[in-house]
Amino acid sequence: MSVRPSPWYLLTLSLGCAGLTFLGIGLGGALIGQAGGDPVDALSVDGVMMFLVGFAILFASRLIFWPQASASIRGIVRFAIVAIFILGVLGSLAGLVLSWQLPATLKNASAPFYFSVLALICQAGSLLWITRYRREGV
Amino acid sequence: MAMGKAMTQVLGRMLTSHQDDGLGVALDVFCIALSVALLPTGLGVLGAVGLFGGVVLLGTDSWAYALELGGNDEQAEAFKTQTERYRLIATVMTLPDVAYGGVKLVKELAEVRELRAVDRVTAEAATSMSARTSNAARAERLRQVAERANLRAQLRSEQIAAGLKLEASGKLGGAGSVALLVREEWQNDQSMLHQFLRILQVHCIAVHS
Repeated sequence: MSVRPSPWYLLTLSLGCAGLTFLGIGLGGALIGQAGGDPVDALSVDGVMMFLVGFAILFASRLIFWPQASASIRGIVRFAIVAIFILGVLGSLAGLVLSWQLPATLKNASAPFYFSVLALICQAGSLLWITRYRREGV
Repeated sequence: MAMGKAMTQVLGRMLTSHQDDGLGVALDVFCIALSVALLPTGLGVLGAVGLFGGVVLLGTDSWAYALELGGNDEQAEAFKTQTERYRLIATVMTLPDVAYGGVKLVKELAEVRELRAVDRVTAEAATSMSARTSNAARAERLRQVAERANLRAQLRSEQIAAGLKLEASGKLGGAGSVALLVREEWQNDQSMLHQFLRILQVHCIAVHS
């Protein structure tokens, strides 16, 4: 049986991945809103894409191929996740600022702001993962 | 005054209509709590996936619920149809784990069971040999061998029980959620599954003609 990562590792990683999904909905919605569209449309494209990215981080790489992967590949995957998470934190802040500036007359104008706030809350998980639990769990 | 009136309206809507959505949000919170509680028990990545899906669903469901409580029923409905694909993706993504992990689990359990059988045979043989031998020191050594083999067999039994309890329950949960989704999609005429089948039907007819 392969070595299991610790519960805190999984908890922070999954929170970070959920933050990525909310970031997709929030930042995507803010950008669409800035262009004059309906921000909720971000739910069907940007949000789904980030949802899949979150799944890929959490699930696919670790599940079947992880025990067979060499140490260098594991290092590259870990580095990629760290880079994505750092971009996620910055993106959440950008989403918060952009959605704050949306005109109030726009339909669904408050949705991107709500999801950006959710994303920022979840980014606490990704920050914890980067700083404390990154090296754990093979 | 106006604030109090709005609050009364929201409370009234919360109590009279949309109770199923309120229940949905409460269930999401329950699922998150359950996933967090299950993480240390060895469910591992599947527990983390449950937490991830639960948090995303709580975020989207609570927004739809807030829209409904605010009185924007149409917007809430449109929002809910757009989040349907998240449920679909989340459920489909757990399939590899159910399939791959299930096969792996069955193989591992079979291996452990075989080793346990070998240990039991060893223990029996050592016991009978120690009963038959006339050399006291040798009998003592054989008794120790039998004892160790018995201990190993017992440990393997515990390993099998733990594997069944922790791993198999997770896989069953994953398979159950897939079954529930298919059933729900099948019964709902406007669902994505039906739309997909309809498109497929149209393509089949077009290709045929």
